[in-house]
Amino acid sequence: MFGAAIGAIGLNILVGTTGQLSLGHAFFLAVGGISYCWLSGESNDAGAHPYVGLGLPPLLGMVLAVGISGLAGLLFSPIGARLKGLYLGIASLGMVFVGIHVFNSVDQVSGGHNGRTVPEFSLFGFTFDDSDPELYVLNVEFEKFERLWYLGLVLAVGCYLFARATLNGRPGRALRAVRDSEIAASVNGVNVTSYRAKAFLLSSMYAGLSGVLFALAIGSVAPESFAIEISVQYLAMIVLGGLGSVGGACAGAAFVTALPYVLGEYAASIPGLSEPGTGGVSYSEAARYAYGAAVILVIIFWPTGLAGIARSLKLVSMRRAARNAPT
Amino acid sequence: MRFGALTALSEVSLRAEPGTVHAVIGPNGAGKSTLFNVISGVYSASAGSVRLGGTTLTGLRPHRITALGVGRAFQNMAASPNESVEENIMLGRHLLTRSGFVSAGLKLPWAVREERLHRARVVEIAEFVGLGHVLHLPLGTLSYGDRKRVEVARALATEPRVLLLDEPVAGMNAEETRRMSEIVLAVRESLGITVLLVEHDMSMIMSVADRISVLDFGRLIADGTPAQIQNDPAVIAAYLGTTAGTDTGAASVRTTASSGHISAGPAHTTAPSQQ
Repeated sequence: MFGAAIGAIGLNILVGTTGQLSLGHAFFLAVGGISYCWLSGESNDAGAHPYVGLGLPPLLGMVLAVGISGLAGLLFSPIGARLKGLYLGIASLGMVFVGIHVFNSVDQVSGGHNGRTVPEFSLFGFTFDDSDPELYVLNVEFEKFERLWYLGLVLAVGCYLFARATLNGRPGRALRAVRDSEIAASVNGVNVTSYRAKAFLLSSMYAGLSGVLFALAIGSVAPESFAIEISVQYLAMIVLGGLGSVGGACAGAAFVTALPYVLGEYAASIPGLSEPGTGGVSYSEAARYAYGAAVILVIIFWPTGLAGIARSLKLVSMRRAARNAPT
Repeated sequence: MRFGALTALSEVSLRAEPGTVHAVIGPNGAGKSTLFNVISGVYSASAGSVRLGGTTLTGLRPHRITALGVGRAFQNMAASPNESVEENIMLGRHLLTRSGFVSAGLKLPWAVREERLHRARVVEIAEFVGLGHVLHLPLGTLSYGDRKRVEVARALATEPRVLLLDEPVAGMNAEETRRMSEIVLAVRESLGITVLLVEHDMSMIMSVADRISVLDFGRLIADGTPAQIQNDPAVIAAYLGTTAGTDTGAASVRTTASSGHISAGPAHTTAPSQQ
């Protein structure tokens, strides 16, 4: 979930703040997730599908995986900087399909169609798996998911603060100007092409880190894990949360990732929902319908998303203050 | 300047003296906005040159030209409606500040200090144009006249040597126009900035301009002081046409213009303002 928040923040910088539609986010998640497996994983010679791993320390693997995602973003950024809006959306769509094909071809790295297991994360001898060392906090045993949850939390908070500071500062101003009026931005001194490329680069690095966390959470990745649905899911998150808002991206990510679990929890008590495989509508399917419907409702009735609701509340109070102030 | 086979500007040569308000007027489609786009680098001229002092601006990209001291306020407001007035003006400081993604994202001390210093200057500029009290409101909630002044403030925030104002009072009421005129004069007087002004409001131009250039069909047809321009036969002909029209109110002037016997007189001097 925190992985999703990081990915959503990254996509929102590109789509919400800079106004560049990208459907290629899944590709950068794939680059991050698969590079991490390749860099930090062990080689597997057994079986019909051998793959190689460099066995680097996981932290180094994570940092390098983000770097490689950035590099992939950099390679695509000349296109990303010159195409606008919808055209970039189409171009980046192609990137996802080409990406899956390329990853399947380099099965030494990706494990091919069967995928590969994700190496456990560890930090200075502390591993993020079920034991070693055993850890109890307030008598709750900290197993893999608890540990990963806190790793994700720390990384997500870091990414959130960085994105907020950047977007509140000079770079964010420049990106919003590029979105709102390219000519006005350039006449005010913003190098439009360069800023579009930088937004693309930053967004791909966020996606890379998100991909690493996603891989750690599901434990085994294959190129098909990063299909076009993932890109669409991320777009749904930022639209629901509010385009251009860092907090909104996190809220949207929480909503979209939590919905299937919440519905799963109450599946028995909601008529028409059922466990997967028992016929009827499964809760993961229902969650997809639900956030699809939520996206449509948000676009029609509240185009600024969850963040917009918070902002308009603030605006009302500021207007009141301005009316009372002497002019 | 050409668009395909269409020549939008040809052989226009004008020179704005430092520290003056220089107005460019002309009927719709005369090439005034094109002229501004050529100066600010949005279009590149197919022939000819633009110079600022000793520096040639021709062929440079817009952000380079801004860096050399040309600020521009747009006719159709090109600011971001959801951003606060302060943020919109801060955009003008872009080239005067240095912080990038990493330094801003990590809140490095120098980046924070830079941001604070430039915000203070933005507050000064906003107060100069009379927007001090609305700094934190989203631009979209301001009145039309106030938004136009935000455009001017943003152009001023680039600390220009030359300020291009594209129809700053178009659509404004008398009071808003008066305030804008005061700002234009204050920019010249207290900041010493050269103002290049495109405008249709003749009484506003006559009250602020030191010199006027008149464009028609992409050509410079007159250049001189307000008094000279008011009495220039070519100008009156351009504004009111040289062939007889259906508008009876202007018909007599048209006839006079076509026969080339325009002389100074109250009827003719007020004629252009009928536009």
